[in-house]
Amino acid sequence: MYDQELLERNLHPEFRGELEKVTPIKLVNASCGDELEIFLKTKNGMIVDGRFSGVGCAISQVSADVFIAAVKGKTIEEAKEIRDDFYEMILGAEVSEKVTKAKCMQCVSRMPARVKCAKLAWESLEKIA
Amino acid sequence: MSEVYLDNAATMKKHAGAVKAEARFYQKINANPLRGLYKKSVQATTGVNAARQAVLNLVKADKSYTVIFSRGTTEAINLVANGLIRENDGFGVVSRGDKVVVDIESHHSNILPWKMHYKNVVISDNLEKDLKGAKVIALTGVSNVTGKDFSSRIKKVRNAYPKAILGVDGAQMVGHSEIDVKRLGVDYMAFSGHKFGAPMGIGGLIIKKELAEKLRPLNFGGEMVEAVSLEGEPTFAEIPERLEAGTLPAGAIFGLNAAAQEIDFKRCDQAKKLAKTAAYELRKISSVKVLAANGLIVTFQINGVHPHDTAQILADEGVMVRAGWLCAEPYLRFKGWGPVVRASFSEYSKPSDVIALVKAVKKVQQKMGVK
Repeated sequence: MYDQELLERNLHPEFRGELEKVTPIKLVNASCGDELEIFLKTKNGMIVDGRFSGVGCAISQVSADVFIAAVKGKTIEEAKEIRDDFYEMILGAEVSEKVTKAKCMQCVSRMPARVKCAKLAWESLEKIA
Repeated sequence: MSEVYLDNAATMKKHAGAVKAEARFYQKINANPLRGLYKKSVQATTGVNAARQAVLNLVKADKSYTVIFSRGTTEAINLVANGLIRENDGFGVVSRGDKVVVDIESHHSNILPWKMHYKNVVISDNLEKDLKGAKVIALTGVSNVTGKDFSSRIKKVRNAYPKAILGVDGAQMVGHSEIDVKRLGVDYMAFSGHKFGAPMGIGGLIIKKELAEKLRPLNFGGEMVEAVSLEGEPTFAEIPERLEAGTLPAGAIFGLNAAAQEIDFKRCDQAKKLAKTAAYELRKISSVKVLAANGLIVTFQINGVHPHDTAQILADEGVMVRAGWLCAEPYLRFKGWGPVVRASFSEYSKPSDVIALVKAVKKVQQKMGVK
């Protein structure tokens, strides 16, 4: 049921790493042990760069990778709109234009127990400084 | 794609006779046990009492024990934990400040009911040291993580502490091997029918009558009182009914009786051999770390792959296993394992299930790019 792109990104993530001089946003999914640190560099309300590090299941880690792919170059407000579409997509909605970069996560809609793993990285938008 | 069910420790495949007996109860009888004066109600009552006896026989209990029905192990342990507390209502035998010891191998169901009611609960990884002064000792019968059988430890504790109230979480024990509660010396053993092929929603406490007499009911209401007046105290029914307020799930109880008859310990032993074979074969896979293999359970991890990913890909291959903390987080943390993958067998497991499991695990290895 795992999307081929998801498996591929799990092995070769695009944005795994850290950003200097950026305080990471820490996220934990205590019930399964997923841990993420999301580095978001912002300038004038725009997310200009991002990285992630952490350990956990492929869903949580790949979701972090596509999260950064999707929100990089967007304003925080735009990022939140993308997030809303992403949340709808992983619950079964069609892939909207806004979330095409995260479409490999659509398979989560067939794994209801994994929705919280997929959401973890995206929760950073609520904690952004 | 064939379906391979290896999550029997969560809930066992049902005995055909148990499912049939439950259906037949509703088709042919469908009356409340205990109170009705017509024939069908009498049949329901007789069936409920027969099931009680079947459970007692299953664990070789003598007349000093009875069975209190509950929804399962969790509710049974909650009944004991709450029921033992001495208040001013005439029930209970211990105080909230008394020492309660549970073992580190405990399922959350054998931890939380105690933690919520008592102030001095020790989750012990060193029973020899921690048991001194314990008023209640609540132990694991068979670990749902490792499959290890703790019968000899239970006997040892009984001999060393003859006066403590000694109870066992028997969820993974009852119906999986021949046991003798008298020899174990336990005051109570909690069990779930669905873990040994009976319907969900029925289980209970196999408990010394003497102790059951002192327990506070978890629920008050119908069927558990003799007389209720406008003023003054109610007169409660005798045990076991006093501890079983409300209409019992009689269909499930008929199913439980059938399951208790249908259990085949020889087939169960064969399933344990299958589990051993599975562990042996899994150990040959380079990325697999088998953490425990006892009885009907094999617990493992694949290096570099989160257990939920393993279980998901196994599911895609038609193999159903459990992954995560297995409702035993303190133990998995104590062992330093974190979340795990568990394959659990039953007397209905087949050699082809082992082959499918091993093949699917290799697929996980390949899909996740680990060696």
